Amino acid sequence: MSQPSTRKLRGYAFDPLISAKLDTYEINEIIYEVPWEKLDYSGGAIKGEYLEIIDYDPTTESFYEHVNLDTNKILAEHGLKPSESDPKFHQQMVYAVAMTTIKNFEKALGRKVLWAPKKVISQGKSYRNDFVGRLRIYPHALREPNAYYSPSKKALLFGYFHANPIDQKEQMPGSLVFTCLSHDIIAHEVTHAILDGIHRNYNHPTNQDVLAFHEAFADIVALFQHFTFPEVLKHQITRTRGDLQQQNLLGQLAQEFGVAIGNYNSLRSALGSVGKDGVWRASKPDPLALSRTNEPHARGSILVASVFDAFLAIYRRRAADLYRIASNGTGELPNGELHPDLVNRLAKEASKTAGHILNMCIRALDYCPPVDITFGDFLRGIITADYDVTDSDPYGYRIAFLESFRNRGIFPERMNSMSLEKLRYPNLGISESTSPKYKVLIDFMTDVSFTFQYLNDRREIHDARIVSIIGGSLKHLSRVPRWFRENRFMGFHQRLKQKSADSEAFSSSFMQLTGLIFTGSWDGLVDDGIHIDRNEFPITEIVDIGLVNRVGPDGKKINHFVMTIVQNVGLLIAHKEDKPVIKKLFDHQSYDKYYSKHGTKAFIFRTGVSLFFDLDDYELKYSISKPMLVRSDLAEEPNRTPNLNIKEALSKWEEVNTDRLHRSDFELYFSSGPEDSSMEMFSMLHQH
Amino acid sequence: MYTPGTGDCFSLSFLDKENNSFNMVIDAGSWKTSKAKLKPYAEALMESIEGRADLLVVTHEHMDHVLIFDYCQEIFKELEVNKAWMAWSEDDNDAKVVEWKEEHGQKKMALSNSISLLKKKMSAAPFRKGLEHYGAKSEYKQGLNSFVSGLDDMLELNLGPNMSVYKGGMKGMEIVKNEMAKDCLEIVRRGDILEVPELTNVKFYVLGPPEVYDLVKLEHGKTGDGQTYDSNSEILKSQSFSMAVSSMSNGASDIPFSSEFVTNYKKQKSDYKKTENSWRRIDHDWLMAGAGNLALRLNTGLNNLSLVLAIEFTDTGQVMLFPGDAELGSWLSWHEIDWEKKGLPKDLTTDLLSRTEFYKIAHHCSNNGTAKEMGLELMTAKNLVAMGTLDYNLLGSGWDSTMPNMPLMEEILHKTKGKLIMMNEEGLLSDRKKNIKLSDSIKKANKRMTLSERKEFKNAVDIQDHYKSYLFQVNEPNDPGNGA
Repeated sequence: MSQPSTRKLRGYAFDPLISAKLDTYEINEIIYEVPWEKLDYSGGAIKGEYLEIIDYDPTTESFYEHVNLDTNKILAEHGLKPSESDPKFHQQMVYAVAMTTIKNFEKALGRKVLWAPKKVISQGKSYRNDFVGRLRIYPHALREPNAYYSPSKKALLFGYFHANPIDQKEQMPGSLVFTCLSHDIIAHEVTHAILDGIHRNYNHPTNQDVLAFHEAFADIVALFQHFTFPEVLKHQITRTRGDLQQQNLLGQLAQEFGVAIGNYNSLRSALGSVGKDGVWRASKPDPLALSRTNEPHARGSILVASVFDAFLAIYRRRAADLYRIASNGTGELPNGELHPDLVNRLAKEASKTAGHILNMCIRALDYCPPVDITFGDFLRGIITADYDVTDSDPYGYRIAFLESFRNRGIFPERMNSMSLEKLRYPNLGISESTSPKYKVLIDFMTDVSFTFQYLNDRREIHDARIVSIIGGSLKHLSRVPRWFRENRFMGFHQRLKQKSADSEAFSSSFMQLTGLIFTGSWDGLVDDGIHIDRNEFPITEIVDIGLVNRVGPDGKKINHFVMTIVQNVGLLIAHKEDKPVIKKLFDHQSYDKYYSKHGTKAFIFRTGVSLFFDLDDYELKYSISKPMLVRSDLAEEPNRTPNLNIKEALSKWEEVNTDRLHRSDFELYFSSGPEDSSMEMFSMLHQH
Repeated sequence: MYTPGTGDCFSLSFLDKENNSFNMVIDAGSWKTSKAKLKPYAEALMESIEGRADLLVVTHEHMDHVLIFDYCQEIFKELEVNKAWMAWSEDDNDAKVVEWKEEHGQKKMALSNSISLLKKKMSAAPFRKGLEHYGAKSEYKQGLNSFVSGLDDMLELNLGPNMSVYKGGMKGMEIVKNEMAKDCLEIVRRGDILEVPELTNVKFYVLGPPEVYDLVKLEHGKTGDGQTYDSNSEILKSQSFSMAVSSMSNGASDIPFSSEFVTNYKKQKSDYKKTENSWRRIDHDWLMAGAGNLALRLNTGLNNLSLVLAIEFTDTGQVMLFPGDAELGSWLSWHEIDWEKKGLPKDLTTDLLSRTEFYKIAHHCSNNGTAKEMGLELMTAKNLVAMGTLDYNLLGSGWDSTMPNMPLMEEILHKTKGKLIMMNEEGLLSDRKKNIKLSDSIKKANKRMTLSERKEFKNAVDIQDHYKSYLFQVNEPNDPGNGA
């Protein structure tokens, strides 16, 4: 007997507050359809392929009974009825929303979602990355208005607390609010975890956009997921008469939470906010706001608003003909309720647009540098990714993004004019025939693509990734082509080291291309006067490697291979007169030792590159880099050895050391220093 | 300014032409120190005020403002106190204040209990097993240790040396109230304009603390937290956490669901308990997040209860500002005082700030101790002099990351032309980027003074083993007072 394709589960479209209001109660209970999977209920948990939900509440030292989603009653009734007082429903809600979010991501990404691996330090400095199959979810873990993703535990922790509304008409004071019952909060936190799996270096705040990007992205996913609920969408279109720029539920995040902590409205909104006077006002794009804002959630909300503006612009364009028909060309809709047919058609346009916008944002992740992301980098990623999946752009999505980002003051760094042409990364077009010296790289990419081609199991993908980096046997992976299973796979590191006649030409070109160091020594890369420990060398880490198969809106298929490499080095800063200079380079894994002795004068310079290969032409297409080396030297004199990018390194150090980066009181008073990994930064609310 | 280490301890002697003095004492506290070390400072204080405090002010109940009253109780037995002022939070006859105190005590207890619970969880076997997964010397482990010592510091600051007493005031505060100033304590309120008979040309304006709870809780600028600050729920934010901690400490149940859904920890066989999964356990996480937030709220809340005095010399309009540890919420509230009710100009607060010629930098030069637009930017007097009560040798762990705040130092150096007297300049940087020592910045800023200004300032400052003093000149020649 074949298995069902989906599991249907009831849940809140928003959160319990929306159910307690007359005008919205009927749309708040929806049915989530998540991919069918066999669930394992052993060990007091609900375990699927991606998630394990353990309802242990450390604040009461109790376990709450877990739901069995496979009983006849529950299967027949599409899960338990939404209820605040039944912890089993809470588990069902987190499962349904988390799985929905994962499903949406995989669809847009064109590959499986993998959680960030667990770094296990074995001996001294050596470590290995272990596969983490399931994200752990604790629905009742904190007694605070907060929820967070813990990168060290690969777990989501949800809080619950007593409501303190400012207006008792909105909510009963003292009533319990569970963050695990909010679609928006769950989607937000799951997105943090997924993003950490793709770009795990985005938890290092090397500039003020990095953490803000994490928050913004998590909000964007939560917001646009609202548009995948047809009943909600139609209801809100009816209410706003199709003008989604007006105050509506779709553009708001976490209503119950917001009211419960004493806001006048939702926690955050992409559209506007309610002031003290109780009047809602649309937020107007202010190009200077970005420069004034550095708290991550607040800064992130500027990015969210930009994306939402782009959505609204496209929606209006797509719906323009419907408005013309409905208004007989006058532009003025007749008074009264919209015709249900018109509502349906508008809802279709809105949902389609929202889907496209969300896809564009998710796809852009592969086109972002692996460290030190800025909002401008994200914009370039969106534009480049979109050119890759579709040539034509009849509704002007790309120009809408450009415009809405510009209106909020988001510009890529070092770009003197902003046009689509400039935003799109240049296609390098490097293939074996055009540049024979890249043979070693092209061969590697070819081998890896064959290895990965048929892999579908997440653990096998993880294993293949490790082997392709460090070398080894692929014997145990049954879906890998036979030749690769029978021979030892030579890893990327080893291939680069392999001496061959053209290796020198390759390394210097590859260094030019990536901005990273591949010569195996610092020799000639830094000026005299900087002390280097002989044994210490920038550590090259391949963060991610994988195939991407996508189909664009007009059926264009793309087969890409993405590899992200990170290279870090520790710097010790000294001062010559009152100018900071680099005194010494050290292995960044010894940071602790240097920090305890030199304080903030010890610093980790994080650099990296995302490489994109086109598997149809076997061509290296893009190199998106935050370079360790000065690449401009090379452009002028191709044979010159590049230098360490001292200017950039020092400006990064300054950024961290001049109060420009936002640090919460929480960090200021309690952290052990800038690299403290025990601070869990990905929370729904700014800590304190 | 006495220099026992980070903390406030000031005496002001208002001198008339015949050198008769009116002695005022503001706070006597320090931190990370001992009785023996504090003794000489208390003696120095006694000596310079000749054993007589005509006016004693205690700004707020933090250890770094009251510890010396406690540790040097014997020395102060000889002190004659003629009048004492404290803020509304010390008004034990007001039922509302008593209720507030009770609540405040509960919070301190919750913080203390949560730290004990946290330490207990962190010394338990599953937790230590879990830590092994992160490597023996991992950043993660160091981070946790630093977190706990940060919490301990915050607790000590708020509870005082006797960490098991939550109810009632800190011992140093109680000694002042019940012994030193037993018969002459006056509660003063924001908006009060006070005078003392001995000083005919001096007025004391009480600018803080705010009496409403909503501003007490506001400690940061409006630069972008995703929440509104005017919410009166701020104060209640840690309530859920405190309740859970108190239930657990008392062995009571505080389970949010009906008992049919609940299995006790010991009875449940769960993946949660598996040793190989111990790195994913969450026994301590809620305590870290909760205690951290509670500690910050408690600390800021109390800082904002600081009694804030602007001392005006009425003949010349010169002002000395002593804000205690007031943070942003308090600063903003000064501007809300209804002066018009008293027939005074509406923007008197701004006016007082603009005439301020001596500023005791609030909250030991922290990032949120001095308001920008509503504070320092309004201090436009040419002859501004500032004192900062910061000493890196005696400071909470990690506090050096917020004190001194670089932009604040830059602004103060600019405004004062380097007429900045710090408790201890050693180790303080004014610019981390350029690695400039504060002492060098002061010297550099001093160059902007004219020769006569320099000479005048040099003559006014006196640095001794146990204090640094400044002679504040009141302009008019026929004026009664100088303060030191």
